[in-house]
Formats: sequence, C-alpha cells, structure tokens
Amino acid sequence: MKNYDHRKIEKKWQGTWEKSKIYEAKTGGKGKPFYGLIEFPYPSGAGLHVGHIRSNTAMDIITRKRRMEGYNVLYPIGWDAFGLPTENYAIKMGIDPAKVTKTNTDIFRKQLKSVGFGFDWSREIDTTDPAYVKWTQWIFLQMYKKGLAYKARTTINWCQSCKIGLANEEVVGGVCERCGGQVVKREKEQWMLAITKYADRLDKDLDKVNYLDKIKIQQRNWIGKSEGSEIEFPVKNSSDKIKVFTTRADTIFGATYVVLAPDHELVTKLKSQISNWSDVEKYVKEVKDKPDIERTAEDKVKTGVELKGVKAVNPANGEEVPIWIADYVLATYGTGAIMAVPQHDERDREFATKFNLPIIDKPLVDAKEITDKVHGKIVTKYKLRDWVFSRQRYWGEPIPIIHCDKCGYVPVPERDLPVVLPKVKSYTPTDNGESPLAIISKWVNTTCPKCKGKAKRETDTMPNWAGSSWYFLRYVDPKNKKEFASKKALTYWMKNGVDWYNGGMEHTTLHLLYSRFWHKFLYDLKVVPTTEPYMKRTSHGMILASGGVKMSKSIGNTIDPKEELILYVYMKCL
Amino acid sequence: MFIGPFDQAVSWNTDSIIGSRRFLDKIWRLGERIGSSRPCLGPIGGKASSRQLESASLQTLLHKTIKKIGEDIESMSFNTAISSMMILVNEMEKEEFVNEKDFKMFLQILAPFAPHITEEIWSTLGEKKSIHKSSWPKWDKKKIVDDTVKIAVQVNGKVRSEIMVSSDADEEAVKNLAIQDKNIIPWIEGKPIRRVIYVKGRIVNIVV
Repeated sequence: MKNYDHRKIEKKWQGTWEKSKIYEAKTGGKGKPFYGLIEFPYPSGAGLHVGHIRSNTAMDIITRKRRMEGYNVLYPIGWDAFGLPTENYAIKMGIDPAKVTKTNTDIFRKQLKSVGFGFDWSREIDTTDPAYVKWTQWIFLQMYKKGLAYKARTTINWCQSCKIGLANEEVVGGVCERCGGQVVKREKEQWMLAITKYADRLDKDLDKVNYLDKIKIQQRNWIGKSEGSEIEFPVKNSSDKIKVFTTRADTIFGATYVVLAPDHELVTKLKSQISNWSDVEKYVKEVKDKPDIERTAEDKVKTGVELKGVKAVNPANGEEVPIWIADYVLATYGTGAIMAVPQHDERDREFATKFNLPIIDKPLVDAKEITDKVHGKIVTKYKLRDWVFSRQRYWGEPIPIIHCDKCGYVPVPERDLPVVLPKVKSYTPTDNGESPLAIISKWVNTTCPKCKGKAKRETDTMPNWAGSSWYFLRYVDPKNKKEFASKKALTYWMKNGVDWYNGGMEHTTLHLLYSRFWHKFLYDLKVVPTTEPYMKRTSHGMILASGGVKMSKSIGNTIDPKEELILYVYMKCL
Repeated sequence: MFIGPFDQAVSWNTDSIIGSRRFLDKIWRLGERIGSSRPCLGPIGGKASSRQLESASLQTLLHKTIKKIGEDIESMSFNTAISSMMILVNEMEKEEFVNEKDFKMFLQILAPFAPHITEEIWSTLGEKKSIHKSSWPKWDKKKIVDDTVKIAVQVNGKVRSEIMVSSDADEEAVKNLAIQDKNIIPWIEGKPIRRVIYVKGRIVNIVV
C-alpha cells in the first residue's frame, strides 16, 4: 500500500487549481457574493510566520465552505509593505527598500502558494506600488480638502535609536517597542488627521456591526467617550479658575482636593503664589518624558505634589480644598484637571490614602441640577486624540503637499499623482529629525501648481497605517486606473461591507479604528456604499512557542519557517 | 487548526503534527481501499454490493458529523471539528463496508481543512469536477434522530412489554408511549394509574 505522497500531490493540484482559476472571483459572477478578509501580511525578511498560517487557514476553511455552498467567494491577498523593518534592513545593507520589498514579497508569495491557500492571486496588491500609492495619496488629499488633514505643532514620542516619531502605544516601559531604544518627547510640526471629528460615530456605529464583544470594548475604550460636567473651581485669592471635567458631578460634595495635570498651564501661572516651587518644578520635569499610557496605567503607584500656598474653592459648598499635580491626570484629556472624590473613585482613593488626604462620605445629588447650580455645563468628552500622520522616514507614501512661500500649502493636483519616492542608492535617517527626503534637493525643489513659482515638496511621509486603512476597497477592483475602485465592484462585493474579517487581537485597536475612520470619510464623500467597512470581525489567538512563551527572535524560539512549511503543507489541519 | 481553541493562544508543538499526519494517512488508506474495491465488489468497501450494508450507526455518525462540522466552521471551533472527523475516520476504519457515496460526503466536509488530499482521492474515485466546486453535503435529519433504545415497560413491577424510543426523548413522551403500548393496555385498562416511574434509558414502571 502506497503512503500519501503529500509533496507530489500538493504540487499537482496547486498547478491544476492555478490553471483552472477555481479561486478567482468574478465581479457579478454566479452565486451570492461573499467577501472573506484576512489582515494582509507585512512581508518581513524572515518569511511567513506560524501566526500568518493560523489566521489564513481559518478564513481559508470558511471561504472554501462558502464556495461549496454556492457563494461567489472573494478571498484576496496582498502586501502591507511600507514599514520600518524593511527600511532599517535596507539602510543596514545599503540597498533600496523597494528592492528589499520585492525580494520579500517574492518569498511570501511562494510560501503562501506552497501551502495551497485558496487566494485569488489575480487581485494581489502591494501598498508600495505607485499605482496603489496614488489612491492612498488621493484619499489624503480629499481629507485635506475637507479640512480633516492639517498641520500642527505637537509633542511626539521620539525614538532616539530608530529616529522616528512613535505613537503612544508604540512606547512600552518608556522605550521603543521595536528596538528598545530610549524615547523622549519632542515638539514637532506634524500633519494630523482629525479623527476626533468622527469619534461619536466611531463609537455609536459599533452597535451596527457583528464584532466580538472584546473587540468592541477595545474600540470603545480607545475612543473613551464620556458624558460629564465641566465645573469651575475658583482659585482662592486669585482671578484664576480651575475648570475640571467630571463624569460624577453628583459626588461634588465629597470632593476633597483638586488635581491638575503637571503640564497644565495654571501651574506656571500660579508660580508666584506657590511656596514649594522647586519641588513642583522637579516633579514636572520628572514626568515630562513618561508616555501617557504608563502615566494612567491602573496598577501604577500614584505620585504627585501639592501646590502649597494655593487653594481652590469647591463651588458647591464654598469649602477650600488643596490643589495637587499628579501624572495620572493628562493635560490632553478632558480639561486637564479633575476634582477628586476619594469616597467614590478608586484612583482618587488610592491617591488620598497615599498622601493622607481626607476621604469624606457625603450624600449624592442630582448631577444635572448641581451642574446648573454651580454654572457648569454638561459636555461629552473623548479620550481619542487626533492622529499624528507624519513620519520623518523615507519608506512611506510621500504626503502630496507642496509648500509655496506665496500660496502656502498647495495640494498636488490629482493628475500629478502619485508623488513617487525618489530613487536612492542608499541613505540614512537624519539626526535633526527631518525626513531623509529633505536632503534630496532634486526631489524637494519643485514649482507651485498655483503660481508656478519656486516651491518645495512636503518631505514627511505617511505612517505605516495609511495603506492598510483602505486596502479592502482596492481588492474589489485592483487594476482600476480611474478610481480607487469602481462603484459597480464596490456595490457588488461590499453591499454590506466585508462579510467576515479575521485577524489578530493586536490589530483590533488602531488598524481597525483607522480603517473605520477612512471608510466613514469615504462614505461621506459618497464613494463607498456602507458606513462601516466590516460586517463581522473575529480574532484568533497567538501561537506561542512550546512552554507557552511568546515567540521572539531575540529569545530564538521562533520556528524556522522553511523547515515548518513542509509540515504545514500537508498539515493545514494542524 | 487542531492545536487548540481558535480564539486562544496555543503553544507550538512540532510533535502534535504527527497525530495529524496519521489522520491523513488513515484517510489515504481508506480512499485506496474504497477506490480499489470499486470494480470487483470486494468484501471491503465497494459501492454496488446490495447484499452488504453499511451499518446504521456509521450513517448516523456521518450525518451527525456533517452537521457538526458545518456548525463548528461557523463558530470557528476548528479543533473540535477535526476531532469529530477523527472519530468518524476511526469508525470507518473499523467498518467492514463503507459506502462510497458516504465516504465522498466525508471527503467534502474535510475538503476545506485538507484541500489537496481530498481533491486527489475525490478524483481517483472518478469525479471530474474539483471537490472545491462541489456542493456542500446536506445532513439528513432522519438519520440523525438515531439511537433508539429499548425500554422495558413494567406494570406493578412486572415486565409486560418493550418499547423503542430515541435516546434523548423526554420523560413525558416515553411515559405516554408506555401507557399507550398495545401490550400494556390490557394490563392497565379500567384501573386508575397511581404513578409512572421512568428510569432514563432503561425502564418505565406503571403503578396501578
């Protein structure tokens, strides 16, 4: 009896399937459409990872069942190919990142094909392909035209080793999540996207979609919507007032102190009245470089300093209360100041216990009534901040804006898209925080599309998140040269959004939120048919190394894909 | 996919692949057994022998498995889907005769998990179209309501009859069946029934 010769048989059928195109999806084809989506991989130099296999296999099984149930199935694949690892590798080796990307995607394609996934390879996309970049830039320009993309001076987390700005969530334990390098705060002019304008809809519309509860909770926590009151606590012997934001105005009679964020503007304003200024100054300095996520972590030991010599007055009962600064209050959230009610708030209680502040139990009152009585107002606040959209790196989509001394910011005309990256043999990021594009004068110097005068290109590039914020739309019509996708293809495949999206829990906060935001924006432009991009979102667990620890290259316990691929190939049902 | 619940983190274990490999080898051998016996109506396998019948319990298990795999895929419970297919394959191995039609249904529900091997066996069994373009099998409701059990019916502690009920039939239904059984009626006719006791899956005692 012959044994199952998996290599021979797999090769044979993969060839047959490719020839007969059984996995190719036809827009408008036979059967009801079904769109199954996985997170497209970042083609790193290491090749496929077991995690990819797990996620792809799950959707592979689902889409194969749908196909057998008579659905017209779309199960596409592509490459989320801009990003730091490729760029860093290219710098190290002194080669063009585009070349590195080509090599890596070739490996990924070969590996994925050898596993025998039922992807529609005819729709393969690559976010770094100029034909794709064109539409990423086009969407950015529409946002610019609607006032959603703007430039602002803001504090960013700066990794001194990668020489790149990091999002808050990319900073772990005060160091860069990727390289472990020291992170400092830096002020920089940055392009921003006004995602906060969509905060309410991003929160509310979660009711319309079928996501796992834990995913909805993550989205909602990140958006951080809260209804509350803004109430002013006058500073004694001063005309200054501390505006606090509280969701518990009903507990105002139990407020025993007020806390300002260390970088609240009042702190320096009150300097002359503060008797322990040197302690205050020292503390402010200490927390300056701490990332927000750490400052507000629940398990963190509370720290703070009292502003001695000044008092605030509780407007509800006229009582004087001390004013503190503490890093668990953020200047950027609410009003940057809180009234502390240790009787009713866990964090305040912890703080009060540590610093021996009074904890008093007073009856609750009606929140609305008391807010009116103390001349406060009811407001809705969000934790969500606008999205820092600039990166000072080479390997990303150039932001398609031109700076003209006469005309200011001028968008690159749509007919001139895409703005492609200049070819480089090799380059390095700059120490002064400017994009490496800034020193390629041939590329930077251009003419203003408006006045035809001398002008310069914007040298910041888009973050890694840009290309993945709309890739599911391109799959439905990947070769379209006139639009990012035709209306016909969009209404056919995305009548209700992507039918089922599966991916890792590590992408259920930002990628999910960002792509929902872009999609909603496109919906407002009336160029996509639905308010939400994904009808259903599920997630898979991580594959850990034996012993239950996270696989990591630094520990050296990852599985060599070359060796293991052979096993996956016949053992998809692992 | 067999490695553990899909929504949870799992530890990688290269050895666990061996179990899966054995599973595929078993299917391969079953496929060969059924394929090779097709023309000659051999004692094992074959589709045309009317004298031999696949056991009813295998059919029940098959249809239950079809139902379960369909549901498990929808809920992403891939690991339980695979274990139930493993159970089915073990049962098929033990059977003297496996209907080709039924084996093909099994191949179809396995196809999303193991696309290559199922396609190969499917084609050696004479199918021209890809298994991945075939229609997802429908489970037969009648075959699933299966395991009937024999229940002894007593009247005042003495066995007077036997009835067949489905193993998951509820208590009231079984009691009613017992009271209406034609062998029982003469024993209880005209007498007030005081109590009916049902020991699940075994006995009904009618006290008159």
